[in-house]
Amino acid sequence: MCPPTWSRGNPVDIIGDADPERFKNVFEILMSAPEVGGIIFIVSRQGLTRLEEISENLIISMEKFKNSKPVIACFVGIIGQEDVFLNNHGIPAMEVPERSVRAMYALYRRGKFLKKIEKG
Amino acid sequence: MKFPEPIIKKIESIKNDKKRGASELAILAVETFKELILSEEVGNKKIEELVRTISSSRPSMFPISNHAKRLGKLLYNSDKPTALKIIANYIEELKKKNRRIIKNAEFLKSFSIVTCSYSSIVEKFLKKFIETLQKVIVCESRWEDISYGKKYIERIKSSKIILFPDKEIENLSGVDCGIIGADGVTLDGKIINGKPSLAMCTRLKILRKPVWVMTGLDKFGESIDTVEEGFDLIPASLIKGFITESGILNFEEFCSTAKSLYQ
Repeated sequence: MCPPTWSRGNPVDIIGDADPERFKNVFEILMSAPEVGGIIFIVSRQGLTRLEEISENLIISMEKFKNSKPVIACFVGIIGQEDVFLNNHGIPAMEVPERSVRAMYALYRRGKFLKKIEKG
Repeated sequence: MKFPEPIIKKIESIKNDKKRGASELAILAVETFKELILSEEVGNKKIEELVRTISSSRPSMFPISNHAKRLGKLLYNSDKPTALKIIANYIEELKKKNRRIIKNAEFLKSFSIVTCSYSSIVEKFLKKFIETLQKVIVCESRWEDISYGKKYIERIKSSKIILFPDKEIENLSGVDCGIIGADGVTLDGKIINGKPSLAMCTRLKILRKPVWVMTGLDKFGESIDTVEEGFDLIPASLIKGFITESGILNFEEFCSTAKSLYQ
């Protein structure tokens, strides 16, 4: 699915030549991996990156997995409508990776807090 | 390695053009890559050579070298049709950049603002929102008998704009915030902009009013110790935030995003 040079760890770097299909396949593996609690989906333009298709696939995959994990998107330095499109479909899109990480950390803490309340 | 004659001419015009700003010349630089790809079968070595030549043509204009380097990476190993598509997309994005910056600055549209040393992006912002802005104070920005502020006012034409003498800047008051453009933003925390930007930002700090820098991420550069006469180096500590095509960023976010794109 990925070329041999992929990062083989976290963060999952699927290499600059990734097409929408590779983005989709890797995303769905991560969505079904029990050890993954949430995904920060970072895209920067590489050559002819098909951003619209990547965004649409992301929405379809999220629906397929019934939004079972928090996903935050970040399209670094890309001037398009993809962030608006994702926001309108319930996936927060942040301007820079740092904000995505802070948002995910906030969700993590909130999740911990809710579990604590549940336990009483 | 020698380039075809039309490419050499384009590089020369980037080198010698004193009228156009860095953003316009950056588009010319990108078009030079297109010219090269159209002219012959080019490989990675020729592209790398063009990146080096263009990057060194105007060392103080960061956007030119930033875009040359980034485009060079994007074109790596591309065949001719793909390379032409990449360049077309790239030029399209470059043209959209300023519109996005102005859109992201919309939150300032009902304020009283002060500005100085006159970037084209700030001018476009003022033209777009002059009806809704409460008041615009434009510093005189006098340098060698030319008042750049006065010229600026003549271009925007509105009764809401007030020309403010540079020597009175310590008495400036009655504004909600300041806006400046930038000729460069360096990793070591300095913003390069025309005089009297530093005096204006310092005054606004005393007044506890924010200063926003409206600029593209492509103005990012490594570091700089001295600037040309007529320019100031403004410490990032005097700046509230950067209004960019990627949203409103603090200094650290500006640097990390720009580095990921252009380094």
